[in-house]
Amino acid sequence: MQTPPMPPDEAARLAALRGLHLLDSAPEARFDRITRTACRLFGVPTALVSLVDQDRQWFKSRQGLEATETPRDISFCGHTILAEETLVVPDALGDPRFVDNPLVTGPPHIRFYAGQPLLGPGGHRVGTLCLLDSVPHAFDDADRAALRELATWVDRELTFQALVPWMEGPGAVMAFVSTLSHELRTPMTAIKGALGLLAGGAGGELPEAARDLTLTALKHANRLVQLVNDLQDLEKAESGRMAFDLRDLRLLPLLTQALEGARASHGSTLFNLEPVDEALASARVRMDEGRLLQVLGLLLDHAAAASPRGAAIRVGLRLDEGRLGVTVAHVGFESATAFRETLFQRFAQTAAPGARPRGSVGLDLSLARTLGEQMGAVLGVDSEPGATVLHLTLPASAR
Amino acid sequence: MADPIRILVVEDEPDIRTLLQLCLVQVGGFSVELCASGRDALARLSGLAPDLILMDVMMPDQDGPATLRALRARGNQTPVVFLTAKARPEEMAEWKAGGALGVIAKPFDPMALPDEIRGLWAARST
Repeated sequence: MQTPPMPPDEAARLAALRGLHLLDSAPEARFDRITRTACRLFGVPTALVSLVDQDRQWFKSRQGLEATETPRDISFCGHTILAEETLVVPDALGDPRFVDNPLVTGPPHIRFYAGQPLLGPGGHRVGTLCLLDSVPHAFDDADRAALRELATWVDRELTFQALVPWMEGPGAVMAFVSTLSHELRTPMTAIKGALGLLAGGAGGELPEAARDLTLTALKHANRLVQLVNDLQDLEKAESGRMAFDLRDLRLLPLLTQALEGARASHGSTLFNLEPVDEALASARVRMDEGRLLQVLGLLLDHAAAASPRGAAIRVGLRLDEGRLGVTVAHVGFESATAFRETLFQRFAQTAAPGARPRGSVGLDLSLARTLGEQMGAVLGVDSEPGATVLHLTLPASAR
Repeated sequence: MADPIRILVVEDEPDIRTLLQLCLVQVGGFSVELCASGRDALARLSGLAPDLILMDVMMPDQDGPATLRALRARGNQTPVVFLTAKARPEEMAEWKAGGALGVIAKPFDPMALPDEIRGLWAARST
């Protein structure tokens, strides 16, 4: 008897197999209907979806066989996964590899075997779709072609299973996003660092045109960094892993600080703070200071990105039914109503008609809303004639 | 004029290491030595005797916090500043409690980094 050798990709193959999360799982109709079809089509009593694990082959689907697994070293399928082609053994008694195999000499007394490798992620041969009988069979090219077709069907079911975790709700997607954002940080550190040093003159004096180009690249590198930061914050906030230090804070000084930041990045004349009466000027909210500044900054950034270049943005403090709020009004849609829902979707483009879309405004509102909600604030949008008004209603302080 | 602050940079990414050197030497005027791992740093530390260690947090084999613990276990009190791409507030608090002088987030602004380090250096309690 010949023990099947290990394929050269064994480690990666096992990783691909385990990544499917199918080993030792319950039987599933989506596989059983394929093995049933195979038995009928080829006139054999036994058809298996066999997954070749480290030391065993385990059957995800089996017709006509009691055993749920057999040792790999006496398996036929261990041989099948060594090559792309179908392995056909018309009569095991005539094949020196299998003639004294315990599965041949004892139950289930295999005489006929045909197995087609199954392809898992990365093209690794993770198992087989195989047919068994206790009497010899002929198996011609048309039979081989039909078995390949059924195996392709199984491949699709395997891959579908592998995709499910990514499709199972936003949690898994956001976890992926978090990993990705983290991976992006090293290259971004290198890019931002190199460009910053170049622009700062650490690489020697640059000709004017080269300096301009460097500054443009640096500006966009910074935007990329911001986007990744926002993504990570969004993931953190949505998964409830973000800690908020809620304190009683005076709102006006924080709004003023956020406006200073926005003016520094978008231009000093863009934002007008409407007059604030005395009662409101001393009003307090209960928020996390850093995160409130972040939310206000996101709203101001969004307004700047979504309105035509140079159009004024009005910022105000309001008392609305006893609740303190910040409003940010910018030139916008004729009606915000239709956009109200899509506005908070990630990466939604919300540029006003005639406004030049200035880069992605994608995550601003989504993140502002998520962060705000975690602190008990509510972000909404309304329209006034010719303007879109974002309003953030804040939880009042206990005092 | 006082001697420049001697900084030992511990960073596993070669490009980031080079950038840090350029930034700290050319922009900051510091004296800089480079190590590619925490183990390398621990092995060479007594010979180098830096004033401050600027160390990446996530490194294969032995990470920044583990290297800091090993350092302190040997009785070495050199101030350590962490560079990290993964700065959750609770982790930053933990690292500071573990004896880090400061934590600087990646990506850092290379033109501002020297002043940031100078600020941490000036604020150290020793």
